[in-house]
Amino acid sequence: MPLWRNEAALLNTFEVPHLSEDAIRERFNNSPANVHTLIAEVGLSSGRRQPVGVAWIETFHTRRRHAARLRILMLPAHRDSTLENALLEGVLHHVDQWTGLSRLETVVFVDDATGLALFERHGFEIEAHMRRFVMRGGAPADVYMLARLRPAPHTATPDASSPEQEAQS
Amino acid sequence: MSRESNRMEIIVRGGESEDWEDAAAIYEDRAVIPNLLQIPYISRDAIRDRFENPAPDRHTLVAVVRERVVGLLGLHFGTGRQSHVASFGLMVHSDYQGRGVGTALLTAAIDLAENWLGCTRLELDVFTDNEGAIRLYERFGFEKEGTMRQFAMRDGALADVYLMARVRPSAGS
Repeated sequence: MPLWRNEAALLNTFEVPHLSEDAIRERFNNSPANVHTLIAEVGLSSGRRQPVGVAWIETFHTRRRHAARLRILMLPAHRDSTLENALLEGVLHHVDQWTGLSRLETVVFVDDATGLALFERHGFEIEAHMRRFVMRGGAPADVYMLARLRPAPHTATPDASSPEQEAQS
Repeated sequence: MSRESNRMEIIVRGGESEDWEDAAAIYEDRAVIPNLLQIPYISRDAIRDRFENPAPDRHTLVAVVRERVVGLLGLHFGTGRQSHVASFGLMVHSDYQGRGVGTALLTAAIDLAENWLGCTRLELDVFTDNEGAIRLYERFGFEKEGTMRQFAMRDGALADVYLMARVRPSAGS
C-alpha cells in the first residue's frame, strides 16, 4: 500500500508514517469484527488495479452500538475527486442500506476545507471544535467532530397531503 | 444538609485488585449507571477482571471513605499522534455524591495526568442534563467544545452529550 509511504496522505488523518509492512497487512487481514473496510482503486495501464483510498467504518459497542466512526485515508492526488466522492457514497450506502447504524461520526482538521466540504455535502454537520486534538507537523492541531444522523426513510410523512388527512377533510 | 455536617475524610489512591467488590457496588448503582456509559446486569467477573488485569494504558484512581471505595476515576491515554490526550470517566456512589468525592478524584487525576504524564489535553463526555457534573468540570477549567447528538442510549432513548476539554499550551506550562 503506497498510502503509508506518502506522508502528505497521512497529514490530515490520524495515521502515523513508518508503519511496517506487517502492521499494514495485519490491518487488512485481521480486521476486528466491528470494523468494515472499503477500498477505492484506480485501473493502471498495465491492467492491474491500484488501491488509492481506504475507508474504515468502526462500530462502537454497548450503549453506543447505534453509532460508528468513519476514517478515510486517500492519496493526495485523488482527494477532492469523483473517486473520493464515490468512496464516501459507498460508505453511506453500506451504512444506510445494510446496517441499523443511526449515527456516523468523523473528524476533520479545521483547516482542511476540502475534507469539510466533502462531508458537509453528504449530510455531516459540525458538532464540536476539539482543540489540540492530534499531532500534525510538530504541533497539536485542532479538529472538528462531525456527525451524520440517519436520514428519515423514504416513506410518506403524515403531513397535510397524506391520504388519511385528505380522507378527513 | 450543610457542607459542614457532610465533612468526611476522603483518601485518593491508586486502585488495587481488592477494590473490585466496592467498585462493583458503584457499577451496579442504578442511580449512577444512566450518567455514564455503563450498562446494568454487568457480570461481576467482568468488573473483577478490570481490577485484577488493568489495561496498561489505563490508570485507576479510587476515593476511599472509612475504608470503603466510594468513587472511581479511570484515566485513559491516547496513542500515536494522540499520546498527549487523556480522557477519563468518573463515578461516585449515589450515597456519597455532592460531598467532595468527585473534587478529590479530579484533583488527583489532573495532577497525575498533567504533572507526571505530560497530558496537555484532558477530555470527557458528559450528558447535557448532568448539571452537577458539568459544574464540577467547569470549576476545574474544562470548557464545552460542542454537543454530540444522539450520542448514547440512556434508559430507552438516545441522549446528547457535551464534549468538554481542559487544554494547556504545552507540557510543563
